[in-house]
Amino acid sequence: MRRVIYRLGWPGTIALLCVMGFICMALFAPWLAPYPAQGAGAPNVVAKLSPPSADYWFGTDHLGRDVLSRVIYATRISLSNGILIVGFSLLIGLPIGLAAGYFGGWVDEALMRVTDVFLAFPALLLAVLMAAAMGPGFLNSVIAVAVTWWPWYARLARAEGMVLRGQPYVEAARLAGVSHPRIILRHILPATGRPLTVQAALDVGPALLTAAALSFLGLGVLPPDADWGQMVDAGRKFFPARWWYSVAPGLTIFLVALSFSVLGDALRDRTKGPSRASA
Amino acid sequence: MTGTPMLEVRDLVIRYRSGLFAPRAKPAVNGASFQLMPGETLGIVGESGSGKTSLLRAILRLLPVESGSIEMSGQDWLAIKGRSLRQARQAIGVVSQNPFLSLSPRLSVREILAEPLQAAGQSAGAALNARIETLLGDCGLPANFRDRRARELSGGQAQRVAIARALALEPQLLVLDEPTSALDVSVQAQILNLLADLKQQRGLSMLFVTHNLKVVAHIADRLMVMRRGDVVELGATERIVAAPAQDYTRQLLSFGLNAKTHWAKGQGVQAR
Repeated sequence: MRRVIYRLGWPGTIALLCVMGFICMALFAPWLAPYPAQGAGAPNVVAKLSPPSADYWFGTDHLGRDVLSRVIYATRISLSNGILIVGFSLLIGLPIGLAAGYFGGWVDEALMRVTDVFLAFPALLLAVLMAAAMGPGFLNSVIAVAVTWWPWYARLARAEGMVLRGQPYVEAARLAGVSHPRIILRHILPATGRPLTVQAALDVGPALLTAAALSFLGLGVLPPDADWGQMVDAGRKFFPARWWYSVAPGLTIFLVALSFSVLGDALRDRTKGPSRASA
Repeated sequence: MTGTPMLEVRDLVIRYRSGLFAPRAKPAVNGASFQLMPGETLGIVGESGSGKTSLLRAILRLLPVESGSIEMSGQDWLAIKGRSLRQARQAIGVVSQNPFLSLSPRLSVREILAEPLQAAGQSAGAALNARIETLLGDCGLPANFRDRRARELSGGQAQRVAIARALALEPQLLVLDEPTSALDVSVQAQILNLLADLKQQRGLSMLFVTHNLKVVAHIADRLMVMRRGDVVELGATERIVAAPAQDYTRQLLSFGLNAKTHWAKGQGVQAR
């Protein structure tokens, strides 16, 4: 623990705890939520739109469901949304970027021009278009956002690949007769790990926000599943009189996005620091 | 020395590409020709910018050649491409200037030495490990170094690992690009001695590039002096060191004076 604090600093450690807390929340939602059935979507109309109270800490929604339980259940969808978007983006962007950067020449030109096409569209607009074309749903919204997201990873990976290609130890491996795929796997990929982890951690927040925005526009998950964006949207109709409905999921989005970006910053600062003998 | 040369370079011209509208750059190497016989060591000497590293990189096929020919054991070296080039290059061992840059910071010494062996098709196992220990031993390092990483080695030790890697596939030709320049002088002498021993034991041909004439005079049979892309002198080491034909060579000799003093100490020979 002390080593974590030493390496990440206080803000980073708190952010890490928050992130881990939210992950636990997603994993153990049925045990943590005060009303698991309502969290999963069962209506409870008798308590419709009641304000925060001892029974319902964050109040209830228009179907009388406990907002706290809903937020806890929505963590599952929103968090995996953010992580999956970044994961898919890495899956597409990393190989393309590394190949472009490592091989250079016409491979680079071809791959990066394709990347530019995707970058040319405003990200949210493209995501909305994609989601509208594919229809709402969890996986569709992940794919829609990942399609706008991967070019950034491709560019980052390309920059790393270009730098590493010229490194004497990579050249030495080439001269020793090591094949290109093997060089990429053994020398280039491990070296890009750090900058890309940092970027990925920084990006989970914005990715999750974009996914929330899609849900807010009605292009994300479908009821009775809920994610935070969709909850904010649902609560909007009752705002500001029944403010708790939107505020609870809104604050949660804020907290999670902040945690991921503070954590990402802490990780980045750590990599900038002096080399550590214990690593 | 008779027979087919190990390496024969004829009228080699290397020119770095300049911009579309920029005037054509002066060639980095302007018509270099030389032969390297099996078992022979050729020292390529020149100040920085003289084209010696460009020449070396062209021989390693890391730089395109504008004109001229390179023959390796009688074969047209510039015609080999793709996969066969990858295999053919394994017949050349390469040691570069800074071992901390040329050894991956992420791999252990064992992994670094295993890399060329595995690229040549050897599978992991006891035989590979034994080979790695032999290589380390040949280069004067204890076997327990295999688990270290490059940053846990001193400059001299790291350069020994780099030499061991270059020797892993039993090359007949060793290409050395300033192998001692990043090392302090006492370690320089040790590395030079190691190279001299290896050359004798294995009958290696060597191309030894350096800016320090005194360093290479110790080990080279013949010297080639380069300046601004031109070969200004080529001949037996003793002749060039004893009676340099060019002022430039004389200057290079005098720059290396310090090195000679230290090098001689390392040899246990009294400095002049």
